[in-house]
Amino acid sequence: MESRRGESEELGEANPPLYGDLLREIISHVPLLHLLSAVHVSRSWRLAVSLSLRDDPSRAKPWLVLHFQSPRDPSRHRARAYDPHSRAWLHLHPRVPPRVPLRASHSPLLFQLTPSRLSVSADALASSWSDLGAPRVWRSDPVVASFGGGCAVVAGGACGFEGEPLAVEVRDPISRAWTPAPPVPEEFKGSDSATWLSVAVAGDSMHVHERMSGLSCSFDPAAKIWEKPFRMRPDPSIFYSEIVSDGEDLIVVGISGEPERVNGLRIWRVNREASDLDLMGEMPKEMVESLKAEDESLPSIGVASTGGIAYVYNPTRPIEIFFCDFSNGGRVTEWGRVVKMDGWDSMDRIVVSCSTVGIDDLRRVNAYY
Amino acid sequence: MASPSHTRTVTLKSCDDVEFVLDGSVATLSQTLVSAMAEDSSSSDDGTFTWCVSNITGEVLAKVVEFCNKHADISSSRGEDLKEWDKAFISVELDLLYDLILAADNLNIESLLDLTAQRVADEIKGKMPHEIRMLFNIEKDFTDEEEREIRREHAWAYGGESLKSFL
Repeated sequence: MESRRGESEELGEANPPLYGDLLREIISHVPLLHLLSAVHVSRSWRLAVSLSLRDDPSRAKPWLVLHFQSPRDPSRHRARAYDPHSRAWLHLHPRVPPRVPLRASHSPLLFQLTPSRLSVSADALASSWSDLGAPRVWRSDPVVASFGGGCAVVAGGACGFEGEPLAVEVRDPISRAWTPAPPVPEEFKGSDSATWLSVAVAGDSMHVHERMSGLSCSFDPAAKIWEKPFRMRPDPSIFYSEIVSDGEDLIVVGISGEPERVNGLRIWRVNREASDLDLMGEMPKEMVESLKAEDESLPSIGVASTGGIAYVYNPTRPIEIFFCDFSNGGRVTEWGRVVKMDGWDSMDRIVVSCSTVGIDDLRRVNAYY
Repeated sequence: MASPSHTRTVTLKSCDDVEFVLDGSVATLSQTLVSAMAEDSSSSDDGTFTWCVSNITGEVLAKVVEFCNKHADISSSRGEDLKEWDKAFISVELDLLYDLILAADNLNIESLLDLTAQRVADEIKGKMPHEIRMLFNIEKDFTDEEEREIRREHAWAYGGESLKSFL
């Protein structure tokens, strides 16, 4: 029999300060919003907070953000954000310019388009806005893509009588001017608006995808070239699909069967070299059932995704929201259910987006529980 | 070098000389014990191993042993039941919580560390910096200048409407 003594004898006194790994362990359990207080406690706490923000992968998961606009009064703006790290919903008060409908494009892009300007938000919280000036041709419901640094594309949408059909414009980040580009390929005639097209930015290109048919095409804003359109349907039973991006890769999320009898929701990664689609995962059946409306139908889905996490919902009633995690770059490693939000008001127009959130972003939008 | 064996028993001795005998499989929840047993070259085949924890009292160690016994028992340690049990287990005074988290850290018991850290984190939620300092006996080591800087940066958190609503 052998007797040994444990280490760390210096911890023996009453309530020694929490420090080092132990403090970091505690900080890792504190929701981002409450870290605002924790950074002011002491120097070692401030250090522990910054290390947790830097190193904890669950802090890097994107938040789901829902903006609510009253259809009668767009100045009445409310927003809620879901923090996947603490699995809780927060209230936000973003400064969204009033009286203009807010739109979501590829996450985290939010935008507002008026005849005098295109404003884009860098994150889903709408914590800061950039004014990109006005495209030359006014149109409603266009496809909008932002490449960061002030480079943006506005394509299609319904134009007035003086507008060119299927107009495309690219904003040059250096000259800050909008310049015309070749129109959306003819194959998209009649469906070249955000109502029909799912849009993603992957690599340096904008990708558009007709949700009902799978017709897809990509546009290079630097060269101003549209690729040849092609039908991207991983499976003939898919009748509705959305595209999102994962870094350089394009991801397709589709539902199969019929709108009244949806029998599956699957997710693929577009393998560009082999121009093929690799199945990444299938949503568990009970989650698909939960997405359906009261009459059992599911005519469409909404997908918001960034950073290897996709949030999936039924756009007609985004109450049940699910997520899938493919942040390891391969197959889906987890399907989960987002905690339900309380205080739902279905009368409002809902704009869904997602983005990673930092401590300063929360400060700018006056977040609270 | 002996490997940690599930058949051995481990005697834990607190700093006030209270002894607890654990089944070897229960002791494997503690990475500290696993490493210690692995390094125990003098191991004989009598199947016993004694470890003195110099800074943990018998009262605290009893709680730790209770936790390990519960969590090592596969038949009763499932899902919601275990969550409920954990919740009741960790409903303790702050002083004991403090001792427990130090013990979890010292013995490197991941599930106990997780549980105690979550409970301490819950205590932090909604508290102002000075309240957190009071709670954990922390001395403010910011200079007045740094303090002013922080207050400027986070003005809204010190007097904003939103903070009132979440406190």
